[in-house]
Amino acid sequence: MNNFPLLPPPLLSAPPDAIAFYRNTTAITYAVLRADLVAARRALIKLNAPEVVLHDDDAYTFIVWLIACWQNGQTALLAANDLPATRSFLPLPWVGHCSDSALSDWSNSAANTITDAAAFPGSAPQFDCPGMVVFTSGSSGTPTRIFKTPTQLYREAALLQQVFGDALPPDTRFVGTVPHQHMFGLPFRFIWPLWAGYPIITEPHHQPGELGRLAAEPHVLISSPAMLKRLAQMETFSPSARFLATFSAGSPLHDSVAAACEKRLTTKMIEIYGSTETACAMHRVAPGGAWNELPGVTLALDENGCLKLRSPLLPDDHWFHTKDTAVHDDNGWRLTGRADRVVKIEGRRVALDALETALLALPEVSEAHTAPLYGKRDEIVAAVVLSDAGRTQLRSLGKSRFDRWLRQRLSMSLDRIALPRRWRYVSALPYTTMGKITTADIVRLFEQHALPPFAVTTRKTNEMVLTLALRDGAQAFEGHFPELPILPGVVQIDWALRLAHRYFPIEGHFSGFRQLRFQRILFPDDEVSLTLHFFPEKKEVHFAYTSSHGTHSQGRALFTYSVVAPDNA
Amino acid sequence: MSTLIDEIKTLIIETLNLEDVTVDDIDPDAPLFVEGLGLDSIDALELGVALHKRYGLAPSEDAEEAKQYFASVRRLADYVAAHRNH
Repeated sequence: MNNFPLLPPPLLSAPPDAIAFYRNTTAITYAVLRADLVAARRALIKLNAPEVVLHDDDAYTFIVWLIACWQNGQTALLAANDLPATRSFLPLPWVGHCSDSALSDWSNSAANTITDAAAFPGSAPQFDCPGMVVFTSGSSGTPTRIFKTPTQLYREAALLQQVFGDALPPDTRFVGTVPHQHMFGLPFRFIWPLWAGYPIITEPHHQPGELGRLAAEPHVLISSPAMLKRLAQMETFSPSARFLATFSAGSPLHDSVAAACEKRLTTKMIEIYGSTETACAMHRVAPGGAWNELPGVTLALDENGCLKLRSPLLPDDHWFHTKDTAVHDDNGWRLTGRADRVVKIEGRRVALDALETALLALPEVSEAHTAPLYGKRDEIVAAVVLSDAGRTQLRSLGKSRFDRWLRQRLSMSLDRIALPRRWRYVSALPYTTMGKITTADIVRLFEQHALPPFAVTTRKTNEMVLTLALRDGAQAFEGHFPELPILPGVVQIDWALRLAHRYFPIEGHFSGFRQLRFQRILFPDDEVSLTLHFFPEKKEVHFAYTSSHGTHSQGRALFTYSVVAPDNA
Repeated sequence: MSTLIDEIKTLIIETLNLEDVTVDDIDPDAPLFVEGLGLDSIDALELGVALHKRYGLAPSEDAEEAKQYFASVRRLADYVAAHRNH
């Protein structure tokens, strides 16, 4: 272990004119890389700081700064951005192309530096001490520091090459859609190819279509489920590049996405299991393969049914406990969910991830997110984006029967208590700008006031008239004005929208009201009719509450079909 | 009997707060649990309590018997008609 090389071997052994990087179609040779590393090392030594914050949007300069830090025995803290909050959180010298950088380039030091490649790696001490710090948002949301030594990263690179390298000829180009400063992009897009001598394309490819511009050469694609999901939908996409392998990590790849990408890119889809803390621990061939350990990694289940692992990529030989639940069979491991999304429903443990996995396995479901709702009885609620097949099924069955039909399908594989009891079919899940979904945003979709008993008096394709027995739905009046029970406007709106959703095939998001008017107070003893008109072309529902006293309230509910694209998912 | 059947359907919908389910959606001869309406064991507990409150039925200690009268809304209505105390 102590004899592990402290530098990627090609940095010493590759011919000077061999290509190390492609940066905006310009080739960077090993001669240039070596000279840049020496210049960066000199600049960093002049900075005279044991720790620096590294942030650079250019992946080439980023990686040169990083390796130069390691060569000097300096520790680089990787910042995800250079926003003021991050800057004040990390009051150290900042290095790279970023705001208020203490060291934005190495060109000044390059002028008077040793440019003789033969002198590389120079005489500065190379210690294998901290080297790098990455931050992860722990379960609490507070950033946690994870220390990585260069040896850990190089060891991972060597393992990846040992497992996957046989299928990759030396001229294979590595290209990625994931950020270079994260613990999937950095080892897979940069450290591994640098270790093994594969040329690296430095620009990130943010859009699936950009992959179409790659040359007709063999490539390895380092990507994410968020990108691959979109790529899978591009049915006519046919890139000229050859993709010998495509790696994905971060969250499970839906089988249908993996299958579509495999076909679209004529590639081998490989999923990686790991975390910032553990580095790569397992891999599998998607769709549907079992997970297998990387050589040297030992996996077992702990007393909570969660995976624990020992790995040469961890800082010590102790068991590292994950929150991932899994089962083992003859072929390897199958991940079944996350223990930290395990909720108690009526005293029973329900794993939301396992439930979502089961939902996503249904052809009717494209996306799903579930949450616990604790009320009179604990229950699971589900917000679901339906596939075309699902929308067709919903239209033909109606919501109530479709809800039950989904439950029935899920009950094949899940405890009945774990089945969602409330469903919302939405055009997009409520992602935050960070690409996350919060339980609060899901639960908000389910806020409701119990409907009063009602009878349908008129039923046409796009028109319904209902008679509501307000007296019997008295709980809606509770807590409003104790001495003067009236039906709050918000409840009237809620009822109108819910009944509209029940009887009309409305798709898309509710986006707001127009001409909303509350003209007469509604009392519990009013005999009230609710008239609903659906205008599919206008994506509007008009509602009116009327009684013998006249119109109580009316308005127009608007719906949109816009899709909120999840970013960084 | 059809009034009692509708009454029990309403009781089920209200007690279990079944969303988007109307009286017309429930087939009186379809199983309440697992298939059909797809209720679960917690629903059975809640329903047992509601039947007790509304009709004075004693919660059944005999699982087999409970299974019988929970088989469908019609079975449940028969059971209620025969055993109700108020």
